Amino acid sequence: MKHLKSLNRKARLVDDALDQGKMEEVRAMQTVIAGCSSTLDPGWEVDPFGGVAGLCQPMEADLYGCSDPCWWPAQVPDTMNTYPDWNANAPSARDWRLLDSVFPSDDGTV
Amino acid sequence: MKKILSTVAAVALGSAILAMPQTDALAKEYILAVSKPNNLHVIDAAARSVVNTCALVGRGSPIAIAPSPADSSLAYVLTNGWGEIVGVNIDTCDTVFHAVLSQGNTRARSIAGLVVSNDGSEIYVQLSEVELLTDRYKIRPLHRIAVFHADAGLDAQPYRSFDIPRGHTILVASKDNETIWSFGPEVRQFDMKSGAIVQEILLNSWEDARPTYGDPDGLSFWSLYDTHDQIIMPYFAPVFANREARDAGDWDQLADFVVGTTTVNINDNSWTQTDIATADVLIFSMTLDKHDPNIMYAVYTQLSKYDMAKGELVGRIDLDHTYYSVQTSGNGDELYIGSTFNDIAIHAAGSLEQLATIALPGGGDQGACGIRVIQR
Repeated sequence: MKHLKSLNRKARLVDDALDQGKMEEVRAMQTVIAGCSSTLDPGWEVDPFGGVAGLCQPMEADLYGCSDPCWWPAQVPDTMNTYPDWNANAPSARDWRLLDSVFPSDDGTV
Repeated sequence: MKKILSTVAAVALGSAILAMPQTDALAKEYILAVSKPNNLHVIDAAARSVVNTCALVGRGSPIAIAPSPADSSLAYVLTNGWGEIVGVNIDTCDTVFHAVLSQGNTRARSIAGLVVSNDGSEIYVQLSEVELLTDRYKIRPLHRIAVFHADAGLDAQPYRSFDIPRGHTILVASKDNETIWSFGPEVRQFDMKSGAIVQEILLNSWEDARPTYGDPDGLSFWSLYDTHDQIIMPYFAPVFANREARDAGDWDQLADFVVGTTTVNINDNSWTQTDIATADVLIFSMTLDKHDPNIMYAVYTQLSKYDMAKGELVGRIDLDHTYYSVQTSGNGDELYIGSTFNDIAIHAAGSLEQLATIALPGGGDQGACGIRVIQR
């Protein structure tokens, strides 16, 4: 970390956790990469066996089960807080073709 | 299959099944399910039909249903961005309770942690809170359980609360109405009044208890105990050839990768923690056979049936699509399966064959919300 400098409060908190030996207290799902907020997965995750056969069938069956809890914040909008109406036109993920991208508003609030 | 049966725990499961709730022969059984945008459905299980659909107030995305144990006409739903509780009369659809969890500049969300006390008088909800300051978000280091009077009406405010460690999700009240069980990376039992920790089941701290085991993944997102009073939380864990390999994280010496359960009996507050078998498919939730305490059922993209005593898979079928939640019927003959898309599937507990599917009105998805079962 000696070549990296914390620029904001959150980054300094990470430094503090390192200094206090608390990084091990952060427990995600240890044996599988899931939760794109921490891993920035470019797409869907792998299953616990390292493949994709164990993922939901069809894939969209899992969409709202994952996006509602912000499990996918890097891939789809945050419907819990900032974009509550993102999927208003598609109450079923079977209609995933009706889902669209979102963009920050002119005033930069979301 | 290398079977590892390391029971770390309290009492035999067999004795617990004797304490299962008995089903009233005259009562009818109903499944409660939600769907987007914000509907609560009441399903007559025997008739395979939806008998009522209540549109809940607010923008939707429900995540947890908590039936009142004392009044079968009342159900409470955690919904509206996981930030509000809406209580309804499931016969009339009248809203009888409404609470906004956020207070002032503190945003509160609850990850499926909602339960009604067994006397029906109190509502307990788990809160993850963040203070929205002008220059930053300040995360509250502890989670909180807020307690409401169930009759607090449409602008309900919590009348007390207590702190709990972070990471807990679902809440379940013990039958004696003295304690609340909470599930997460570790499982804890809290005194309902003081919030003091009564009992802990360690899942991420096995260390010496299971010296060859790596850290497990535990999954606790659904309250699925309505007909057998036992909360079954599946875990997946790597097993190494020896402790040295475990401590070194030497995955070349992986001996097995097992699925097991942490099971809590809310009648006597005993628990067991037992491997089932080598993990070969994903499992999201499990339920117990009401006739044979050694049999458990697991659901995800497959419906699986395990003999716990033998550590064997004894049946498996592919489902129409992935589901998250499974409950045993009151008479033990059927399995109700829900979540993800907009249908409930009913399967025979014996053969696992599909008996029916019930489409939920409106077509919206259930998402991550689990189903509940009531008798009335």
